Amino acid sequence: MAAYARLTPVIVVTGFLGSGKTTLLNHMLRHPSLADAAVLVNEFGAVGLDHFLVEAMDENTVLLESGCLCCTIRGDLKDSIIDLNSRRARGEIPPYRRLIVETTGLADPAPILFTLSADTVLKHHYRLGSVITTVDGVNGLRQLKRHPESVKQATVADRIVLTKPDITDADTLARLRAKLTRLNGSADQITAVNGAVDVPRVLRADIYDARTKGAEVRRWLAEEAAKDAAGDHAHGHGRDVSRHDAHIHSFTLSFEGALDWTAFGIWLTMLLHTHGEKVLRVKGILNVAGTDAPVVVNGVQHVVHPPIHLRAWPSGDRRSHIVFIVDDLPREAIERSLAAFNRIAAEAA
Amino acid sequence: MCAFCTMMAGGTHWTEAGTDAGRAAEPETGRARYLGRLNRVALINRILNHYGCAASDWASNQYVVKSHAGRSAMVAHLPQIWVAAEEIAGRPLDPLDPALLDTLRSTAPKETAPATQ
Repeated sequence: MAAYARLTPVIVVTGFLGSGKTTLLNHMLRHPSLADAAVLVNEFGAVGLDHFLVEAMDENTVLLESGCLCCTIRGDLKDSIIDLNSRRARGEIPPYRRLIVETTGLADPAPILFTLSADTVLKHHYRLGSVITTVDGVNGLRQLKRHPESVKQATVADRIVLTKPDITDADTLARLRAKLTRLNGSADQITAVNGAVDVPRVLRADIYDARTKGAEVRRWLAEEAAKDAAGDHAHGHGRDVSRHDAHIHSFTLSFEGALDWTAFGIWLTMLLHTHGEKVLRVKGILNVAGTDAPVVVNGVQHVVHPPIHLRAWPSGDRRSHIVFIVDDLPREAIERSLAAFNRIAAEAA
Repeated sequence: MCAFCTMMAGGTHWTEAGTDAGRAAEPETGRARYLGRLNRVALINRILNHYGCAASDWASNQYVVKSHAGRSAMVAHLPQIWVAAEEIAGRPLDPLDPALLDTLRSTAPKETAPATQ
């Protein structure tokens, strides 16, 4: 963990077109905790504006040349980060300790996370810190309905920043919040008026930061528990409050006994091999056989970030809890499958 | 090419790396690592048995996947095992498949030899 924690964290800021990513960044970059951050921006349409605004605050800004981070210029993302890294090493730019990547409004963030975790050079210098997704209060519901990119951006978020709450009617905002909770119940929802946001609260999403990871995992569990309670109250069938709403839904699996780590790895890699496109998010806290401390897993589609140990359980609950956000995969099948894989390990023991 | 197939190329896979970069204990070395891989292979073969394939450890840093018919492939880590097995078996592998789960329930732990398709 120590070595991984020393890598430069990358904060990915994503969100649909016009949802206020740059406005948010402009505000966040004024906060002292981001004084040592470098920024990579890339946006369709408003490139010059974004570049000017961000560059005006941070000399480390690099404008990516192509229009889309997620596919055609993934190499540009890599090259830009490596270039920044080289300039930092040579002392040509201040020694930034965080890197912020602003995606295009139409970007699928998963390939960006993939690039960060898979590239053989980048992964020795950088790690994913967190994903912050801006959602437009006024237009968010319509965008979530019409644009799959928007849904993807919401499901991978560690923090969802609801923008324009001051010009959004209360009913629309409540429905948007409920929709986002159903899509990604463990992501903290924070409002921002003209970009003004509680920056420390946004930045606490980094589960690889020793100062924040315990609290962040406790928050996951609390959010899921609250969501469970809401589901029981509203629908009377437990955790799947969203299963009837759309193809994409989230749920939490809880296991009483310890899980075998080897069997879990076999199961998850096979699940992602076959259904990775449909497993939008998986994260959880595991009670692993043979170890006292819990293990935290965190993955986005085919990308699984390095699991980490917590020093202690965040509460008296020693069960494993795994949160899934899936597209049209039945909860029962996933639960039955994991239990079966864990059972073969118990049989072999 | 599938992102998942290439994502861990050149690095230790998360299922085999050390604590906080992978396994639930410190990275295994020597005999412990070897025994850990044998255990992993034994569990994998409970799965691959259903598809007429089997895996074995090769020098503690590769896996060999092969079928009864003699087709084989050498791979580096778990995700690649599924890719190779799928190609060798000639059908998709699915951990949610009820037929596979039935096989796991009905197959004794020691019955890990590849089955004829």
